[in-house]
Amino acid sequence: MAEIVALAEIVLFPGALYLVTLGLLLSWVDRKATALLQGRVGPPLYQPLADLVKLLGKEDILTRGADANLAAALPVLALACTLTAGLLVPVGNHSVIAFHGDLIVVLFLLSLPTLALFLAGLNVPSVYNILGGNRALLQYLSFELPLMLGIAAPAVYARNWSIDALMKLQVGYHWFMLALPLGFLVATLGLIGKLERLPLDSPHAKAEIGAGPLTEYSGRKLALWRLVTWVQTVVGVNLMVAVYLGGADSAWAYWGFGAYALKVLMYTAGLALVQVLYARLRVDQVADLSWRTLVPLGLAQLVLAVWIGG
Amino acid sequence: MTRITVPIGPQHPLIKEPIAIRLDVQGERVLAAEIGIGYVHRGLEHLLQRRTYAQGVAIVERICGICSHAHTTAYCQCIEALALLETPPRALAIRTLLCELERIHSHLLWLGVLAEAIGFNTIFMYAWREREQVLDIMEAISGGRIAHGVNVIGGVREDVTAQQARQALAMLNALREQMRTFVDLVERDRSFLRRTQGIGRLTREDVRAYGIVGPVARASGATLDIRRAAPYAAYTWLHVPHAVLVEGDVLARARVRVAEVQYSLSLCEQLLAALPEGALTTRSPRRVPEGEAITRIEAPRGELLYYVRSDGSDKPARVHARTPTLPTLMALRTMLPGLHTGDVAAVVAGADLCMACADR
Amino acid sequence: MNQDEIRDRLQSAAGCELEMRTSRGGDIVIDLTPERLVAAVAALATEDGPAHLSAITSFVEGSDAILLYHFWLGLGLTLRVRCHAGSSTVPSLTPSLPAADWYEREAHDMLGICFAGHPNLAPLLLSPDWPGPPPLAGEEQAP
Repeated sequence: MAEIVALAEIVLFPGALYLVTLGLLLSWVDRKATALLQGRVGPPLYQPLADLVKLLGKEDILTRGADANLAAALPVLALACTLTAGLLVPVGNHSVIAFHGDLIVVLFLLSLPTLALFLAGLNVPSVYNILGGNRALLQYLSFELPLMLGIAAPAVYARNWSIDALMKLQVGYHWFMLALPLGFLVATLGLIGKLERLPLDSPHAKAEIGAGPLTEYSGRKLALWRLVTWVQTVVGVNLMVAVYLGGADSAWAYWGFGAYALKVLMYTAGLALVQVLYARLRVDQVADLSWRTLVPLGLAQLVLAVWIGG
Repeated sequence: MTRITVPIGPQHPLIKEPIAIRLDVQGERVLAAEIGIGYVHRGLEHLLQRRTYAQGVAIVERICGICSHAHTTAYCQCIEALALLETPPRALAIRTLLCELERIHSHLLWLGVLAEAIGFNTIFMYAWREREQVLDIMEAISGGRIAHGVNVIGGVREDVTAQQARQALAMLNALREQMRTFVDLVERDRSFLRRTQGIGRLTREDVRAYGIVGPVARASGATLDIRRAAPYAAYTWLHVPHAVLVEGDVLARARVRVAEVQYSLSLCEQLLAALPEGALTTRSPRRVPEGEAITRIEAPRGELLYYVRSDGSDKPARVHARTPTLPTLMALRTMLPGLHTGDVAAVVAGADLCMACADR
Repeated sequence: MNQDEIRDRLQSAAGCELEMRTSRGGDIVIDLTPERLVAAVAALATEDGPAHLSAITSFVEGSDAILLYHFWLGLGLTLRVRCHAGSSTVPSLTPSLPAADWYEREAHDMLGICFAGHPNLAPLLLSPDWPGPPPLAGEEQAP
């Protein structure tokens, strides 16, 4: 019996199906919020699903000289890592798997899809893919560290490396965002960079290098990569909500889920706001931002967290 | 590090019209650039020799979508000079009004394109939304948003009624309010400045050497503006302020164009407030007397030159148009080398290229 | 620059008397032979830089090709050069005036005129495999 429940949790809720559905939903929230901020109408609710279905039906062509097995395996691997990370992050006040140290495992699992993207770019012998792959690698080197520093700050502050424990410690509006604002900022910018969202989307800067590492991909493979981005966004947002915004701030199951849902929506809207306010950073300005600003701030926050925490 | 060739065009998300830019790139630095045009060459000068002068107006209008009125103005002016026609003042005023409205919508289009090229989609959306106001005014006057069909040889075909003038003035007032956002953008917005300041510099010597015209030249210290230097149409009685900067980078070009939109708004308001009374056209002959004429006008992108040669029949013997994008394209070959690859988008979009004009 | 100054500069560069006409539309038109072209254009330079070349128009008149070099010097000036049939080669302005580059290439495309000394007379507007005669050279039948 327990096995069936576990399987249902992994596959349906709050596992794969839920993560994918939430991925589509958050993608829509992002696009709708961006549109409203830009004075436009924006797409209807089913648009991300329609895009996905349409892409799945398109012809899947691969450039000559690209390794077909690698091209097919990389998005599947990336999606698998992201979904697995999603199982470790609380939805509401419950995560499918929780153990001490799962924070580190989540960060590790989330770093693999970015590497996969870089490899996918270099796999295709096209100019835009290679340039995009190079930039994706630079972006990876620039934003994994700030994200990790930012996410580690609450753990260091509370002397606890379990996401579930961190979430429960924030009950009663003792959100870590208030205690560690610097870490929140660094982690958010790290997340924006990791997800390659504007203004940090230079690996796929349309006006410069087409679609970057994914330029020559089409059909099913591209659909999978889109899905990876969406699910990665969901997992990232869930993680930030759990670790900085208190997650499901209550012992009651339903009210807690409502609180969690509200926070997820607001954080996504916040990401949309940042997307709308600035011009894209050039790839060397991106590296600048990371190493001159984010990493020092993140380290400072860690030191501070050690000092004031316990 | 290996050198690779990055092709921008003839199809690329950055460029709106086909042009082939071949960049020689090492790492993230451009070493050399080659430009190829001619992808939308339609042989229009050849066609114009086989159509009557009146038919030619419609052909010339379609050389370009965003400066269609500039082309017809120059063409009609040329033939009016050849046939020694006296265009009525009301026609000149309406012609000028549309010239200035076209300048506004062209510059707003360009601002959106530049913003999109540097990833600032919000400004792209805002600029094109404001542009719709201007297109609505032009549609109310002429029935067309782009190819207006207003110019005829000898004058204009559409009148501006008092009500249209009032509505246009109200819309232009609203636009003037909205321009504050764009002024703020080019004066203060740090993310915009970071992507445009100091990038793609053209010196005054470059401008002279390549014969560059228009806002690109005026952003590098050149002062040539045909509306002031050789006034035509209503510019003979309007005062045209001009914006000249010396930095010569993409930011300077942006600032010059934003200033020009504001000046054009004033000019439109002056024209709408006091349109001269009188006829809209004067009679133009089917056969134009033998001879040749040259006119220059200030299109949104700069000096547009038209040469028309007549052999006494009802079809021109030669029509030649030199569009203002051509010198800028020539200079692009010197602007691109040395740039970071991320800046190519800003420079190419900031140069306000019109390939349809360049290729004809 | 005014009319007299232009005439003085050009005449001293050409070494002979030059006739000035005014075309409809206001440009001053001066006839030159091809050999005198480069020196004449150089004589129009000021301390600001070379003369502003607006355009180069080309057309056929009878069996000759005519080249018009349109300048703006505070007033409109057009230098008119006739290439006689059979020797359609004109010295290129491009080495001394980069602005002439693509205008000369266009004249080469459209009329087949050769510009001696041009660094790269490749097709500008026509496709590289253009089969017929130059489009504006008047050689094909009118439809």
